Amino acid sequence: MIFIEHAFLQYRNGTIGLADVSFSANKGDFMFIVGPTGCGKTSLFRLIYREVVPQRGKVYVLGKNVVNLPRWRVPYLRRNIGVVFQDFRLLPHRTAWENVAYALQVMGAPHAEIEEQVEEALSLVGLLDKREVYPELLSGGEMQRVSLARAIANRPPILLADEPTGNLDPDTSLEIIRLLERVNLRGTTVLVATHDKYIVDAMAKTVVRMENGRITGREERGTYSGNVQNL
Amino acid sequence: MFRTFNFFLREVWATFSRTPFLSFAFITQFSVSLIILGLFLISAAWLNSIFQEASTFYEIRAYLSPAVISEEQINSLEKEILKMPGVVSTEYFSSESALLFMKEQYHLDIQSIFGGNPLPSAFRIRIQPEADPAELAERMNSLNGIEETDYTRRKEFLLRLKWVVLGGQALALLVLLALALSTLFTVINTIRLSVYARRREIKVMEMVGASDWFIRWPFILEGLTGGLLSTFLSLAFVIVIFGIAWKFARLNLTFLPLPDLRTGFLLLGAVLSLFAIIVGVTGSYFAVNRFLGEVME
Repeated sequence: MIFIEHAFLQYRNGTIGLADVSFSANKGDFMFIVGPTGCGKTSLFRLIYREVVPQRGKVYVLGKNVVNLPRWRVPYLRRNIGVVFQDFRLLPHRTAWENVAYALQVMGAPHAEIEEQVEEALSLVGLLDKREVYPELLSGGEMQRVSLARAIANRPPILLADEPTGNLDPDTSLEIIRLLERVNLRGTTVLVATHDKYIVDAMAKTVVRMENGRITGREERGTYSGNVQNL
Repeated sequence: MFRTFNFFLREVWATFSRTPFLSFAFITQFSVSLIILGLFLISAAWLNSIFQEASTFYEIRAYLSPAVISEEQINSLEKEILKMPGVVSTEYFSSESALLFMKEQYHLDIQSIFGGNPLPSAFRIRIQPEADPAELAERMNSLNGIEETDYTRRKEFLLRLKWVVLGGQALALLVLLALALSTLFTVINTIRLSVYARRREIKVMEMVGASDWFIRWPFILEGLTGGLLSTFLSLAFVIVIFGIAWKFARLNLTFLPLPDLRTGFLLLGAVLSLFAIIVGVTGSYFAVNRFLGEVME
C-alpha cells in the first residue's frame, strides 16, 4: 500500500527532511510514528501525500510511483488519502457539515451521495448534532473530530494523522485515537505521527521510531520508549 | 458540469457575503481606478474631437464694403459665394452683431472709443479641407461688395494647431498607457491581497484533493464579478460627471462642438468592461497560481 525506499529529501532552505528512509505499510495497518520534533515524521507524511518530492529514492503509494506523478494527477492521489493535522485546518467560514462535504464536492460527487457520506462520517465521530456549527464555536476536540470526519468522508484507503492529539487534553486525545482505531477496523491503513507517550502505550500498536531524518526502529505491539527493535 | 458551475457561483456569492469589507475594498479600489481611467479616456476623446473638428475646416472671412446695406445685396453676395466650388457654408455677421460681440466677449465699447461703429459686416465662410483658401479668397475679393478677405492668419494657426494636436495625442497616449498600467497593478495587487488572506484555505482545498482548476474557478469568477460590478459603478459615475459637464458646455461654451454622448458612453462602457474583465480574470488567475503547490517549510 505504501512503499518507500532510500528516500532523501532536502527543503529549499537547506533543511534535511529525510536523510535515508525506507518504510512500508500494508492494507489495514495501524502504526504510530514517534520521535522528537524535527525527526522527519511530517516530512514522511508529506512524501506520502505528495506535497514534496524526494531528491533521491522511490515512493509508491497505492501501487503508483508518486515521484514521477504529474502535477495534474496529484489531486486524484490525495482523494485516496485522508489527512488530519494538529491544527485541524478547517475552513473557518463553513459549518461542520460544509467542511466535511467540501472533500466530496471537489470530487464532483452527486448531492445525495454527499448527504449520505457526510452524515455517516459525522455520526461516526459523534457530531451529527453540531452539523450547522461553525469551527470557531467548536471545542478543540470537536474541531479535531470534524477534521477526522472530513478525512474519512470519501472512505479513503489511507489515513494520515499528524500529531492529531497535540492540542488536546488526555481524555479527548484517547477519544480521537479510539476513533482512528474504529476507522482502521473498517480496513483503512492508519498512520499516526505523535509525541503522546500515554496514547502510544495505551494502544499497543506497531511503533516506528524516527531520529534525524531516519527510521531507527520498528516494534509490533510496541510502546513509546519500550523495547524497540533496531533496524 | 452544471452542478459544479452552480457550486462555483454559490462559492462566489458566499465569499462576497462572508467577507463584505474585503469585497467592498476590492470593488471600491477597482472602481476608483476605472473612474480615473474612464474620465481621462472620455476627456481625451472629447478634446480630440474638438481639435479634429477645428482643424478639418479652413475658414475665410469676407468683409463687406460699407456700401452693401440692403438685404437683397447681402443675399445675392451669399448666393455667389455658396456657388463657388469648395465652399461648405456661410454665416452672416452684421456690423451691429460684431459690435455686440466685442462688447459681450471682450467688454469693449468700440462705439464710444471710435465715436461710431468701425466694424464691417462680414461673412464667415467654411470651406472644405482640400479647397485652396488663397484661390477662393481671390475669387471672393473680385466680387462686387467684398472689400477684403482674411484667411492667412487662421491657416497658420491651424498649421500650428496640427502639431499641438499631434503632440497632445502622443501625450494622451502615454498618459493613457501609464494610467492603464497603474490600474492593472493596483487591481492585481488588491486581488493578491484578497487571495493572500485566503492562502490557508487554498492549502486545505489542495489537501482534500481539489484540482488546480477547481480551486481557481471561484477566484476567477470573483475577479470577473468584481470587475463587472466596478465597471458598472465607475460608468455610472463617469456618466453623471460628464452629463453635468456636457450640459454646462452646451449652455456656456456654445462655440465648442459637442460629441454624441450616447455613442461615447457605449464605447467607454465596452472599453472599460473589456479592460475590467481582462484585469479581473488574469489578476485572479495569477494571484491564485502564486499559492498553488506552495510548500510551507
